Amino acid sequence: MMAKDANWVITCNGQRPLPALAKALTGAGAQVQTRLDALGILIVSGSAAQAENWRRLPGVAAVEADAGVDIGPPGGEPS
Amino acid sequence: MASKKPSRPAAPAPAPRPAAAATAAASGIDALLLAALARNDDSLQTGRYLVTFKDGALDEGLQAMKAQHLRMADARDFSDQAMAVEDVGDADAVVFPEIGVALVGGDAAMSRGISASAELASDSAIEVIEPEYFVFADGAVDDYLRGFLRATETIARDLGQTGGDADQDEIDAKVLGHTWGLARCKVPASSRSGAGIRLAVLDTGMDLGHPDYAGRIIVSQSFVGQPVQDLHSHGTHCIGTACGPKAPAGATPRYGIAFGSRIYVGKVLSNSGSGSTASVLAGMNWAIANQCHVISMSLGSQAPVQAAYSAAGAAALAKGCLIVAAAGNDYGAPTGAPANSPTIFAVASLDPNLAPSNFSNQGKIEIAAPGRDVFSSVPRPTRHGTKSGTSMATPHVAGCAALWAQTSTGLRGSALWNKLLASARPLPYPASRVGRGLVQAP
Repeated sequence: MMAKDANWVITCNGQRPLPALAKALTGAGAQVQTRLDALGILIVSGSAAQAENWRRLPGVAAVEADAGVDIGPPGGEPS
Repeated sequence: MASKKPSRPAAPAPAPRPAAAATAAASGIDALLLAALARNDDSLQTGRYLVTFKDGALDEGLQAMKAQHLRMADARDFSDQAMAVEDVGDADAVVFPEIGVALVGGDAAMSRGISASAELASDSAIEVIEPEYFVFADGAVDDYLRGFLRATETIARDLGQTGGDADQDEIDAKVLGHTWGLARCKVPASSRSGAGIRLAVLDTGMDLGHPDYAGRIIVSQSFVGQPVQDLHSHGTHCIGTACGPKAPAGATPRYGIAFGSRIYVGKVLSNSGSGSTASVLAGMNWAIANQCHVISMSLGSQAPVQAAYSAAGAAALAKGCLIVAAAGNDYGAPTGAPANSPTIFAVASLDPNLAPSNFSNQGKIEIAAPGRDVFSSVPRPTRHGTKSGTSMATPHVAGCAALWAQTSTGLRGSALWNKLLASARPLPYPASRVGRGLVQAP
């Protein structure tokens, strides 16, 4: 049974160009969703186990889960 | 389904006829709101009609509707009659037998002469036909009056107690003209408008047709798979504080700071007010790629410092952009992400008496700004409303930052960051609550 895929935020450390890192991640099983060139960040999907492996790739500064964001506590007031 | 009772008195004139597909019986609320905005309809009517049957006449009434070739969906066909209106496909009408009411789509009603003004025969099975109205969670008009009056009363008390803190600008704030927040930030006295400055607000979007922004240059982009049009209100409110007009129409007080700035609207939160790190980062990337000098983010989560946000903040500063973010509203919890990143400018909230708001997070705080009972723009038809939160404090800082950026081409990125700190008004509270103090306009 395949592990469930999730979205991951890959922060690059600048040691290699972003397109090259995207290619390397693809080779390591990642599906690149978005390339944010101005930030040096890739949004990819894959399993948690794969994410562990990506951390060891040259050029990767951090691998973080894509988490929820909102306007404030439920109920809105204050917002 | 929207309630049959309006949340405010019904408009005397019937609403303009809506476009067909947008007001179908199965249309979602977002589609109905967008259609109403598109036809400039501020009557609060959705374009659909509610048919109430006489007691005991439901079956007769339904037979009459079927005789008019209306395709009917009946709640009795669903388990426990748990039927969401959006689940009825292409039905022309939806029946709620327990309450003896049918909802009829706009096009179906129009083609069969079903309207609130239709004459009903004395032996008709129908008791009454009424327009369906939107309902909203906020009592926005009441909120504005209550918030504005409370704020001016608080300032009056504060000035009376302190004696030496009054100046002409603060006294004028009591007599309308501008909000208490603008008064405290010394905005009315500033000769700056933010002209030539690009100010991005990453939030729930904006009401792009709001009359207060007619003639403004607005660039917009959605990153959440929904139109930029703000169906929540949070984004329009924050944009109002940061960039609202110098002289709104009528008796509306000034509520916006950088009235001459170019507005960049990045919809990174959905109409339900939520998003993800990915959508926020996409918006930040867009704003930086578009060289937005100031980027305002009234959003976040109670998460530790995220490397991605820190990298984004660093990229912004390197490119001469300043990202300002809300500390969060978890009643004294540590500053949330992204504001807790060292490269992002964190904003705490102040009450009208300049005390830290009790809901404002603390810890890593750069500056503080007005965040309690803040009056600003909200989507039509309400147009203006009052909200509280570090979300409201943040665009005060963004707006003032835009005014400072206008004063010198050298005030970009880190230089702008330092100028905001150096020009802040010190406050008698710990830096963990208010940072360097109250943001001030040039």
